[in-house]
Amino acid sequence: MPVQKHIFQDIDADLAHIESLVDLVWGLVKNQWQSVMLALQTREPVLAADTASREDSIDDLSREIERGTVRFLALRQPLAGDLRFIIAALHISIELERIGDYGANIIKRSALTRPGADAADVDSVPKMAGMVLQMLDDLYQDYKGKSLSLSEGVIARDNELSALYEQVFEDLRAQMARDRDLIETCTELLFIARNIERSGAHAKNIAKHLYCLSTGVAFKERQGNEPA
Amino acid sequence: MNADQNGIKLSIRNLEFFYGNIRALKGINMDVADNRVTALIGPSGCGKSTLLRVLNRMYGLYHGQRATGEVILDGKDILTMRGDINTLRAKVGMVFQKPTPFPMSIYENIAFPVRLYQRLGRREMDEVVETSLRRAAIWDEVKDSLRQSGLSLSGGQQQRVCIARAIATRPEVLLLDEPASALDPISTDLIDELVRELSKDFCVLIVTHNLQQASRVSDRTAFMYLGELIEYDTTENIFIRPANERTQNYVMGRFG
Repeated sequence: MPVQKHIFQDIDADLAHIESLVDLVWGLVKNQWQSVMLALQTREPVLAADTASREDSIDDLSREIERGTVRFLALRQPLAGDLRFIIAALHISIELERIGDYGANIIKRSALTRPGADAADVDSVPKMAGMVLQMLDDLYQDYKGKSLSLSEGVIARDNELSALYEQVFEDLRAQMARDRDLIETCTELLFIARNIERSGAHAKNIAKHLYCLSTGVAFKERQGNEPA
Repeated sequence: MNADQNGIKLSIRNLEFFYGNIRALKGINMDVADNRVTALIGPSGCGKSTLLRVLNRMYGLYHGQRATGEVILDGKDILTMRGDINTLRAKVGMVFQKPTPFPMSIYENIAFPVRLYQRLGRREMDEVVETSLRRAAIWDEVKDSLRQSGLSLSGGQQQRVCIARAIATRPEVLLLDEPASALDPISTDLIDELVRELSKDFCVLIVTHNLQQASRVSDRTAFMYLGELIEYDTTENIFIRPANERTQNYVMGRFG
């Protein structure tokens, strides 16, 4: 059945407005994480002003989404799919805002790391960041396409990310024990790795919200991380 | 309690209303904006329908009912104006809760009140009828059956014909007294959408028990209780952050 417009047309206008705000935040967060990749992989300097400006925009948009969703709930009393969409939009914007925040933090910290840390960790950390960027892309595709085909993979990938983080953590600890000169760099890398791991957890939450949006049922993890 | 200073269509000042000795409206002060929808909400007996009926002097049809204070429409006080009251009622149109089509054809339902104020040729009248029915979003449903009785239509259709009839005389203010309370949800949505459209050209006041309708359709909302205007603000403020505890209890459904 083709999607029909609402009889009361302001509802379609309000929903389109909130969708466009979520789109904008998603785009900004992806841009932030593309800068994360630049900073970590190629060690290119990222303009602090660009990072800060994206952070400010993400914060402003998140506030606008919160205001818009509260207004929509109060003045439109949505039901069924509309209700699930509004709740999902609010949750997702909060998760995206956190991922954006972590991204900005990573960019700032990466400027403090010295080249010369163990190559294995310098490779693992950018690899982790690349996984988060891919998760963001996959989730966005599912959000726009109203499907779940990629979200389930995102949930599985977060477990890989957590495992990689544990490995990086141990490696960096070992490095610091071996070479005191590397403590400063390794500490920053630890924080960076932790922020990437946390971002992955927020991305997994987005996947869960998309699941609930699509099915109307809360996502419940089983041991194999498939929905219960 | 102040509305926007720009574009005020109706100014109500110290309005009191009495059914015999019973004081039904107490010192109402409010400005009603043009090209906006203003909703009047409140529990049964709060005076919202009474207020509406003051605005086109419907009370004048009944013995023992009187109003004091001022209701200024385009610089003139409605309450004390002399002259043909029917002219006022053409300027301030009303649609009632129960659809009230005349026992005439759909065409005549629109043409009859227009003929009270204007002499129009056949072609001009056809145009007025079509324009009114189009603006009431019912032309497509009735254009091939204009000679049929207005009473043969469904409730929702009858109400839209009544709205067409009210706007045919080119009013400036449209008063709607619970226009959708007798209608199903889809008809209500159609009326709600129609009210939003009409507010582009008219000053619209709507009395409603349906808080969902009030919150969707209106720009400003007035909450009344026991004849008093308790709170009057943007609809967003009334339904998200009402300042008065009585208002809050009413919209939250905690009214005792």
